[in-house]
Amino acid sequence: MARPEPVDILIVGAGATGAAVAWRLGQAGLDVLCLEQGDHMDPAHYPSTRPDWELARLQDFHVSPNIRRREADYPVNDSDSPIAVANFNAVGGSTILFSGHFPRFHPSDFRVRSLDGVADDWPIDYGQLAPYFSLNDRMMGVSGLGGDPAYPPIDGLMPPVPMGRLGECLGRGFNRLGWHWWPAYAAIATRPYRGRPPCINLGPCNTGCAQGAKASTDISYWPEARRLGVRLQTRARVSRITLDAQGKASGVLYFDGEGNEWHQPARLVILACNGVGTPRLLLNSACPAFPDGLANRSGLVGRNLMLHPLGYVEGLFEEALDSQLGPQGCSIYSHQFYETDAARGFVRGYTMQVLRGPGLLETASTGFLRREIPPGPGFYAALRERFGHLAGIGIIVEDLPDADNRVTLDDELTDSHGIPAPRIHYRLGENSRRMLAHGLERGKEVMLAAGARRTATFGPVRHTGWHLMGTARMGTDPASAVVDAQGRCHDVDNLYVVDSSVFVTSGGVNPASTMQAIALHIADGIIARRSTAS
Amino acid sequence: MTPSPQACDRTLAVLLGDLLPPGDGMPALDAGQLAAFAQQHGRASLLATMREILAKECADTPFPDLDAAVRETVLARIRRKHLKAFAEVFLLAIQCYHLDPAIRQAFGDDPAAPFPNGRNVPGGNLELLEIVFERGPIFREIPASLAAPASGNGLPETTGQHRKSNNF
Repeated sequence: MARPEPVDILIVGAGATGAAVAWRLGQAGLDVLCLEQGDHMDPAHYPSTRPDWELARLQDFHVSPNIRRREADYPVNDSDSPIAVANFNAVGGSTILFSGHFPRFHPSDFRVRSLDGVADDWPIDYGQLAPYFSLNDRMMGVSGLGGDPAYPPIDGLMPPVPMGRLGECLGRGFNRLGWHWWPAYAAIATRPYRGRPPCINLGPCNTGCAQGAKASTDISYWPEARRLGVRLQTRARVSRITLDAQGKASGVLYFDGEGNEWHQPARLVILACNGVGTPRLLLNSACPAFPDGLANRSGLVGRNLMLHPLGYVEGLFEEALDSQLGPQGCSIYSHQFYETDAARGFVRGYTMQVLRGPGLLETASTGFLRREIPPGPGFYAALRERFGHLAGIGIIVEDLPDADNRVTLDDELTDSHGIPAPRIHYRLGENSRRMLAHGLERGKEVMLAAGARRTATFGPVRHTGWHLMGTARMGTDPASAVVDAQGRCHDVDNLYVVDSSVFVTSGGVNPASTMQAIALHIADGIIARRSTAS
Repeated sequence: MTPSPQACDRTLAVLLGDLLPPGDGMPALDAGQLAAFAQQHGRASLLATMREILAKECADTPFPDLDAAVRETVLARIRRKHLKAFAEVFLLAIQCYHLDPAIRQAFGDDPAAPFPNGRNVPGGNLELLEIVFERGPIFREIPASLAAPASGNGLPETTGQHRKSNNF
């Protein structure tokens, strides 16, 4: 292989935000190369193309890299956390496995210090991001229903994914309580959209969408970015960011698919490796000028990790809800308890996300493990009573930043290239605990109001650490933030972070929509600065 | 003495018949099928471990030769004493069993892969939302005094133009 030629802009990571920023910079005609440690996925081999699709979720499509152990994965030491990291490493990143649930942050999420006296305000706000939310929605293709009282107006939505009998049943429950609910926002095409076919309700969106209706970025942003001339190199695992004599980023060191190490020179480097991968890379790039990790003079690289603790409420219904059918993570949702009400005993709030019921194998397995389905003669009747009759509500609580919750480098564990693995140190804060307990109780109320004859609650659920935020936070003061409002590192001005590491707070919703909007906002800052400089 | 393969298969067959009893339209899970499934997924050792446990627990009379009621007692004891091994074998058995199209159909599940035919899901009654809409907005409006400064993200004016025209 020839020695890599210098590039103008180098992006590390081809997932949700790497794809968005690549497309936007490509649209401006900039010279862009993206390095991705994973490979292209082939939808023809996604689990939903096989009758044994449920087994794949336990094996090579498991949400945990420690269990999945694909060649592209790196291990994560999450033994010091009740929540295990979930991710995926490929072109498209974790959007390959995400459910597609696509709510935005609320306006209040960017002003938590001013409104509620906790954490910090963001240096940007909803109004500034609004056009980027819209742009991102157009690129991804978002379904939902206008008129939602929980949000400022949102336009351009495709019809919502079908709520099914399950959603209708729980919707009636919310109505009996007088609580907000609405069809879920979903990055799932419900009619033909930009060359993508509509959803046909395969079900397991979270093992990859074989139909191509779900907007993983390998099929939304990347085809358009490639047409604009953006180059994408797969099986390229970046180990370190290099600096020049002036203290500016000069490129990265990476291993190619054959294990050869290369230096890729670049004039500007953008990190899009998620809230664990980005601090891992910055910490592993320690050098004499930055002995505690690159761009870490604030000491905040890796700190303030927020994970969105998730609780789960299950309801068992007499009536058949056909709950196993439909996009797994998207039906209806509620923001009844999203905004702060001091009388509840905590600040901030949470989402109640109605989830489809489990498939046949998961129903049988979890029923057995919880001793609700016995082996032997009672097996079939107990399974029949549950399959298609179960409804779930995920409680997604806003996690406040805590400097002790952090990502460090593991002293012993490494990936296949010898790069130190990330180690997670995480505890639930008291506010999150109270909020989770409140949400579980309210979820039970919904289930009972909807007619459930039995409920069960538990949380935090371990394998739900999808939302990795806060580890290179954004702010105007270099002493209390890693990047500025433009995503530019305070300490290294040609090094940017565009993923959810930059989040100041976590909101109480899935972050994909917001982090992509922020990535587009940062991209426009880079473009504008380039225009000014030239 | 190591039991013969035939004896092993018989032990496994009787065990499976007790855990997932056939009848009432439900087929039996074939021992050979489960052994092959376990082999394919690198978990044959789970079955070997269970055979050893059964052999120890039934030292006087081989497990398959016991009366059904006695076997039930033995399995309850094994479940208590060897919870992990018992659970792993049962979960392996249902992983294999659920792949049988007859089982899937018996529970009203479509035995075919979800793709390419998909599934039918009713849209649901959106009129139920009228009452939610009528209650009005529930998100917090942010006072103008708390908004970030105009173009306060420090962006040069070009981005402001994007914002004004929404012309992406």
